[in-house]
Amino acid sequence: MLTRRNESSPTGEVLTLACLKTGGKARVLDLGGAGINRRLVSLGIGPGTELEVVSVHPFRGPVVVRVDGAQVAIGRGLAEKIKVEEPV
Amino acid sequence: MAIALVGQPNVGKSSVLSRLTGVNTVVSNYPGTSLELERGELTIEGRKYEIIDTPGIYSLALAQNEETIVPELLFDPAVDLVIDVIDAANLARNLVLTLELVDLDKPMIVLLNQIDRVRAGGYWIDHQALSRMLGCPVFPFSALTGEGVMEVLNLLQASSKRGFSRFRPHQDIAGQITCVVGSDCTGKCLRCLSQNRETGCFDKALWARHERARTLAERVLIKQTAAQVLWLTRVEKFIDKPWQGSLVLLGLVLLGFKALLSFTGWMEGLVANTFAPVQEILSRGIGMVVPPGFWNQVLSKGVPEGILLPFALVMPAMLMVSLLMSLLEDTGLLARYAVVMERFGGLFGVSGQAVIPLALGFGCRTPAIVATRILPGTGQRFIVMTLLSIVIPCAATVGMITSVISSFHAYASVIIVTTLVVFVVLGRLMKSRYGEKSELVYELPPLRIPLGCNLWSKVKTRCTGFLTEVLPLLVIMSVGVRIVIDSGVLERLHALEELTRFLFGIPAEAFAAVLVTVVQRYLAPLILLNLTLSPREATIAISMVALSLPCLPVMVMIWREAGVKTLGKIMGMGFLVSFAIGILLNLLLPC
Ligand SMILES: Nc1nc2c(ncn2[C@@H]2O[C@H](COP(=O)(O)OP(=O)(O)OP(=O)(O)O)[C@@H](O)[C@H]2O)c(=O)[nH]1
Ligand SMILES: [Mg+2]
Repeated sequence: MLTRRNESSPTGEVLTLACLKTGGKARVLDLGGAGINRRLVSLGIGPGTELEVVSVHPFRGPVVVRVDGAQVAIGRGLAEKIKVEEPV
Repeated sequence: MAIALVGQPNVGKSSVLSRLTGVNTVVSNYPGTSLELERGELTIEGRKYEIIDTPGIYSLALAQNEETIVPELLFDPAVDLVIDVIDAANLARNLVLTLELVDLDKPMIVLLNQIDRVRAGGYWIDHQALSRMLGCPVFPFSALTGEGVMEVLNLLQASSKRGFSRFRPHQDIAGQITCVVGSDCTGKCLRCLSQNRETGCFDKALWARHERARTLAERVLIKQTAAQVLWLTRVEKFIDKPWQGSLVLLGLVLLGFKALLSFTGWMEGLVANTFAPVQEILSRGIGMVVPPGFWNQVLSKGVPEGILLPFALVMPAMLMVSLLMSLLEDTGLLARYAVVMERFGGLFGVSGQAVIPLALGFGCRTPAIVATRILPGTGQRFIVMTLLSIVIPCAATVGMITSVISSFHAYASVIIVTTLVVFVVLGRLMKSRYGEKSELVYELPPLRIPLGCNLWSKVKTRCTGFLTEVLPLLVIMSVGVRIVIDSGVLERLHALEELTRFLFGIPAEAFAAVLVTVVQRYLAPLILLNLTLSPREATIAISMVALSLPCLPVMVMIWREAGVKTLGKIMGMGFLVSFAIGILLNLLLPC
């Protein structure tokens, strides 16, 4: 498993959901912002959730991920706040 | 005996209600279809059961605004039994709500709905194990195939004598989520809702419930065979690729418009041919019955017109648009438009979800106004309601407008461009004032093959609604319009002629048609068709009519949903837009 180097990296090299490519898999480390958390959480996205990226829409469009059996579209701005790690 | 159907959005609660009671509820393949309680009745051996369908909610604890009717219903002692409807193909997340319901301590049964899809995926759910863990009956169920219906009915019948037993969940399940903050918190964080929602306890408990649901799901979900690769899955894969998906969606829109145009063209001829004799007979018949004179004139013209116009002008467009809309709703494509359009929504200060009410508006705007509830934030709702009321043409409007356009050879392209420009400008203006930044978080439904019977029932509902509610009104009003025209009141408007010609370039009678939209939007074309207008005048008048106030039911709905102040604002803007369009077109269009 990767360490949490991303979070502490001073160069700001944080792996977020928005960095992933179509088909990429990731595990959520941390959701950004408090209020919005709950909307994601109610769709089953929280710390430790494993995701698969279904599609990344061009021109800063939403990122669609698969969580278990469901697909969830997440706006790009929010996807940029969700810190993830790539599972080994 | 009252039974509440509760579950997450789009799991099939309304379908279950129809299955069990035969009542005709709206079923669509996107989350957020039902937004109000809906009741159905079931009689088993003379005993009546009232089954209540509810709007989908992801979590009781997170219920907000209108969603709170669900927890309120559940806390109501009159509800004897809770039927928790689960999308079995998405077990882990659905069990979160189940665990909340377990904490309510009410008699409950769980339906593993859409079990047909689980099987197709090569899985099986050990429902007996799940039943032992939850301490309540669990049935594999499919509203599609009818699997499990008998079992549920048998259970209801058996319990009607003994009453529903309270269930005892396994100790692993209930009350295990420990509290981390305040000492007086029960740790279940469903009943301590009234206290502080902002504590870390709340969030922790919420996520803990998710993890609990996940382990529970892992224990009962059994892989049996390889997944059947359905062709639908392949289509879904194809459509979900951004570029090709967008192209397909765009292509479908164009195809839809093409279908609409050719169908209405074809139908208009057909209806005119079959109805011409009917109109003839009607007008002769009335002419014979009513003694000659003023009333004879008025009735023999007004009544047939009031009946024929809606059939010839409105019905074809309405049939086709409601069919196309139902196809989008039931396949799951509508929700995919929301994703593709998200970036454009940003331009108007609304989120991608706004596509759903806006698109529904092309069918009928009244339910579309209710559908704005799925938007986050009142500012966004206001923007979308305004755009719906003023700009989006509903099926009936499209029908009316196209017929007026063709009978005066008005410039259709000018009207379309004007509508688009108004949409963009109004949207941008409202964004600066009411726009809210919100991020899209939206569940996409799986693609499904639409059911013929569901499509049929949707189209039928819309058309009967029109025939029973709007048609009689139109006949009466058409007679009214005749009276006004024949009594020469319109001629008195000539005093205004100079003003309306100067401002909008249209005759005073056409301006009366614009004003009449306050009373009833569908009246305007009736008046216009009785005038002689040049193409230029018709273009301006139609644009002014099309981009003004919505019909009466929509206004009532806005009042109900957002209050009289909002309605006032929207009406004010409607007139403003309409007049501004008139003035601008008068300046811009060459004479
Ligand atoms: N394959 C399959 N599809 C189902 C089943 N039950 C419902 N559906 C489909 O699931 C979709 C959603 O059904 P609804 O009954 O509208 O769901 P709902 O839970 O009432 O949804 P909301 O009102 O939005 O919360 C529709 O397209 C149904 O045709 C089922 O048992 N099997
Ligand atoms: Mg429903």
